Amino acid sequence: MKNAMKKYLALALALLMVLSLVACGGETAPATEAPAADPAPAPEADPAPAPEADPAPAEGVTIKFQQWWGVELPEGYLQGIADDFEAETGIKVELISAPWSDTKTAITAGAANGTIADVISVDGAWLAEFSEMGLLADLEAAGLNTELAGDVWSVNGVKHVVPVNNFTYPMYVNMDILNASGVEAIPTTWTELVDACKKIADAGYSAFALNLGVTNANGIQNVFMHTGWASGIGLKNEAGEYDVAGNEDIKALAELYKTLYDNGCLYAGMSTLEEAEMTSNFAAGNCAFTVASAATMGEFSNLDFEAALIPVKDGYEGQSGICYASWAAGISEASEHKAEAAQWLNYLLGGIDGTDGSVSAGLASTQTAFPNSKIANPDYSATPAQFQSFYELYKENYVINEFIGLPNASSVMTDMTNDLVLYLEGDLDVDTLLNNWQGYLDNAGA
Amino acid sequence: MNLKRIVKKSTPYRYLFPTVLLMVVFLVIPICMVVSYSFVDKAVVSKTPEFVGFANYIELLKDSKFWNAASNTIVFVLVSVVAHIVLGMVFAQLLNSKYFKTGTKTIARVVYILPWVFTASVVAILWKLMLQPSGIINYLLSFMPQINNKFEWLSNRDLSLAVVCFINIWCGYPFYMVSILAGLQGVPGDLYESAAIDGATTVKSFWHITIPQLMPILISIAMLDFIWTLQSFNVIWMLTGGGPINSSEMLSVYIYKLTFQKLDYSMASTTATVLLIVCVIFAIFYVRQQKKVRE
Repeated sequence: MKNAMKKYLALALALLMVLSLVACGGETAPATEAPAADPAPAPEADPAPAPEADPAPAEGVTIKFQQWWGVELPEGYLQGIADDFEAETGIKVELISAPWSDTKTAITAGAANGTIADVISVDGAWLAEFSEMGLLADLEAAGLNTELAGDVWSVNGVKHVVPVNNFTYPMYVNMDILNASGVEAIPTTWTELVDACKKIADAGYSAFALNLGVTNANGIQNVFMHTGWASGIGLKNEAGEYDVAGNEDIKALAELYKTLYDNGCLYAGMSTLEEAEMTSNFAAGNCAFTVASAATMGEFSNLDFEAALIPVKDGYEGQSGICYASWAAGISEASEHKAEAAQWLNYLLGGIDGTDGSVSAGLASTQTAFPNSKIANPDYSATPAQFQSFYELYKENYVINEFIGLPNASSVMTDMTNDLVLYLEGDLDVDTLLNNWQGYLDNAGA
Repeated sequence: MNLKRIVKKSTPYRYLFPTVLLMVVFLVIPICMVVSYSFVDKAVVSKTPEFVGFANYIELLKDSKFWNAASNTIVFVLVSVVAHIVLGMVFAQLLNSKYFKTGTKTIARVVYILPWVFTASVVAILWKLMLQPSGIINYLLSFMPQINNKFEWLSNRDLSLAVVCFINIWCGYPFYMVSILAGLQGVPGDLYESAAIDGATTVKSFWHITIPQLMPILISIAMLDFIWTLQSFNVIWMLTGGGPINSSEMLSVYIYKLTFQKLDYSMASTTATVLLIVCVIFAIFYVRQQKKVRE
């Protein structure tokens, strides 16, 4: 009996050791590149509405706020806002900050083990998945004053996420390279873009950066489809359905990039190029044109550059769609302090009484972003001149991002990116490309 | 049985308890959870996942992306392990050679071990910068007129897997080198002297003395390396993300994408369970081999 017991114990320990050997060999998950935040709509300069009656301050309550914003803001900036909020309301906001690339993992892991934060930052690409997982509460029911916000993201009619800051994506132009290549003006049409890129490539420079890396496959959104949106070309038809297969406009868009590729005008190494690399290469003066978040403009201080709209299809005269991304946040369905969480979001948008947009304005000007709060008036006087001129273009046009709310957006964008690489490299024809994309979009979330 | 006797009998178990508890909490339970997820639909993301039996495994086996990742992983692991052994042996022999002075050997030891000291992120950034189309490798190639210097090392579907293998070999061989060097220094010198007296050449001494003497170490490190390389993730993810077009996608990257891009924890757990089974088989061989060595 004794021997049998010892044998069983020895066997169990041996099994544990084998398992630990396997587990110890594992590697930790990596930190990928910084990404593109997400979506947001054009701001309106409307006056601030009166706030809804918020619940009475709940002294002593602590809410957790999981986000990537604190990592990207100057050190202590977000904590300062949280401290001011606590001083006003007695509600303590505990910041859980991690890079964007780790935030989705942290939130889903928190949802799995019941430790999800009360307020969670949400990227547009995650909206549908988080909603399907039942992570997001109804913001209006929680007490969010939606009238403060220019835009609120909904799923099936329920308002789940409110953007705080919106980041647009200008096309950055290295003027030194343009001048050295004999390109006299920033191109405004596709034909001019092709001609300019050809001249730049012939002069020995890299012309246009298209990031098609897949650790964060957002080049298909920020660059490729953005080029379409600038000319009023979208993935959806007027009925709101995906209309890609056989779509002549998207076909022309794909052919534009194929021409750039065939002319040797796309930045070499595009199929593993990530957004952060693209930006740093532009900052290093390695490329004439790149499309990146306005928030990165500060990195280009050593360059003679301009921030412009993406060239439009020849003959297009309408407004240009500008790709955007957002710092947005929702309230966790599992939160026991939804009212306090809504109060925090109201504070970010409209201060303590819904009439003070200074918090939102400060966040926007600090990040060269645009506020989603209707009552925020950011002071952009300290921002680069290029940002201020792009602000004028922003006001004359509109923002768009058709990938916001798309189920399995990350996965769909990865598949679309892989097919685009095949097409550009000549291993897929354009009709098959569009048919494949139609399939990915139709089956998204299925 | 009195209390004293019970306390005495339970003493070894009480000593073991903290370790066993930690292993159960941090190892057995998570592994059991992952295995259980592989048998349900919409694990984690649904509050009411349904039991689906082996359906996830059947779906996995039908997935061409899984087989692509599996074949890439096999190539990656085999090439890496073999190259690690060969390079490790060569460098260990160099460092163990009597033809170099001690100072030279010390400097060489530091230089050779550097790739192993770097963290995965440093390795990835370093190589990514060097292998950029406008990086130093292509710049150096530009001095060779007959050679194409426009290589997109990591962005070329035909090259990416080979390049990732090369980088993994580069950063992994020092472990072999150090282990084999330790083994070489433990081989009795009189064996070589006897062989020399009997007229054995250096090559014969290597095959009939060095290799047999090192065999336990070689088998051990090869098995460990097999398991570790099978699970490699960081360097691959940071270099290529498994691309372009999944050409350098390993099972670890495939699992990561399923988990954090698709939020498909069920299929990710299914793949992880398959990988776990393979690793456990090799781990069992490793433990048995270690037991033999001890005996």
